[in-house]
Amino acid sequence: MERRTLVSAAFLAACICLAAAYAFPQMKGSLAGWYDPVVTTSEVKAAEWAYANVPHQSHFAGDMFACEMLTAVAFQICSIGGAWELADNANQRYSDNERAFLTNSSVEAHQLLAKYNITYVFVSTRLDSNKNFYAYGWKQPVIEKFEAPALFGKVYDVDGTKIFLVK
Amino acid sequence: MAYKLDTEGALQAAGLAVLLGLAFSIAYWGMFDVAGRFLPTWDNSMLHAGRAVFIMETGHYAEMEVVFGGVTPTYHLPAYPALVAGTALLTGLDFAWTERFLTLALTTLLAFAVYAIAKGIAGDWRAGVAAGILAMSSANLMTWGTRNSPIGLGNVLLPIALYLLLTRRTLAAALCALVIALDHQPTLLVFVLTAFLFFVWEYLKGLPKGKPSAEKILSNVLHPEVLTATLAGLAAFFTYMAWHVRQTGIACLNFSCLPQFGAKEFGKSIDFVEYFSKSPQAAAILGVILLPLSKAPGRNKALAFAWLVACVILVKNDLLGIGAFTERFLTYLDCAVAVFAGVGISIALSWVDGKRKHSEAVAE
Repeated sequence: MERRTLVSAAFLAACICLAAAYAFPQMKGSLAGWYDPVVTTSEVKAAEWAYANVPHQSHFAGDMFACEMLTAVAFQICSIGGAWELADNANQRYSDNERAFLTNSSVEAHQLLAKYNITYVFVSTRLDSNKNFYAYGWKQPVIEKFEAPALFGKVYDVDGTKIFLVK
Repeated sequence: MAYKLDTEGALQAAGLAVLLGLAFSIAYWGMFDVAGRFLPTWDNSMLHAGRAVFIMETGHYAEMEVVFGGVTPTYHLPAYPALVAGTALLTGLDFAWTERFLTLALTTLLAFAVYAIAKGIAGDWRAGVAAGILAMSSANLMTWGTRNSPIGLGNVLLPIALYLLLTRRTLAAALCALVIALDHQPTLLVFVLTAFLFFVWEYLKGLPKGKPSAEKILSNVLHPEVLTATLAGLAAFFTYMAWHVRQTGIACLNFSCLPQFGAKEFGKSIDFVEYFSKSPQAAAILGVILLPLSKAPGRNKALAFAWLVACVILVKNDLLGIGAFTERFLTYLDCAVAVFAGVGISIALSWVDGKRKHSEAVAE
């Protein structure tokens, strides 16, 4: 047997060991964490409901990850997102959006949402998971303020995820 | 013509099988299995899925952003959402399963693309296998470069485009460059800078001997030796500029209207001593030292170093006073570095082999 063949066979054996003992476990562990869900199953179900029951390309408000999920699952437009390329006044939009969800005031929230022509509010307690979700700077939104019939109309409420019509 | 699989061929096939098996396994158990139990929602993947869904629902590209109120013309490029929408149309899968399928396919293709370019540079299949395995072990490349978003497609197309430059497949290289230009801006920057540096090397090498004249200097741009890099680079540049002008008008030819330039996304300055002291990047030093000393054709060496230098310039753009996206370009540096490592390992192995009868390296 040629020396090159022996060297290649030894190289191949080393590659198999490297792949099995290092590359696979190392990368599998690294990647799996990154691919964990960033929204809850109840939010996806709500988005599927919105796809079937809300006019497509309506303007929603949510947190960043819920917003992006809504563009795909519910085929809607959303208030913020993770890509700021050429976005219209992205920093102010982010700030106002976060304020609308964190404020205790129904009136202030309504004014901020109306400023951006938002038609629906998408909000979840995200309590169906033991994970910490990003949401609004790791803070839980104040959902109770949306229970103001003069300003908001609840159209969906299942498993902690709610959708409100902005009046 | 009957093809006889000799021992070397069998080992090569086994090596490729190990590499593709590794890539598929990482993609399956690292991503697909996790995302398969839920939507593949990591990071901004749903934003790009949203753009694909727009095509699936309307048959048109989303001209406006689908987030931030949908009030601004999009600056996202159409290739990846078109790929998702087209794959969904052809397979009948919904967008989520299409994204999962593409994660598997693109990660496996990435390993094959790295194999192809490393094998092409070194002329040895062992360079391809080693480079592929090391690429699959590279943290930046795998965590950022395999996402179900335009960067995932871009990281596959880049080594393929460079392989097409290396093998002088002019039309295919130009088409691949065109798709990169319509997919992802950072990938485009790496490709255009690499192609430009490679072009400069080929151009200078192809200049006729004797006293320089305007005729010699200009005509050499279209010399057959230089033509592939010239046309691929121009295809990428003009395609992207056409898109840019379409989206922003002619008042933004210097890109100053883009938020990335107005309010830079600052990246930290990368410490190369720290970077190259880690595994698997440290192995690349072997290739950087051995490739210039090897018998590989000069243009193979030139392309490899053009790629490495382009990535280094982009990662260290803080030294040029820019300081934006530095960490993002590590994704591309990881790939070039893995190829250098694979090439270095194969050169070292060839010394152990003893005298080689022939070189499979792409002919100069």
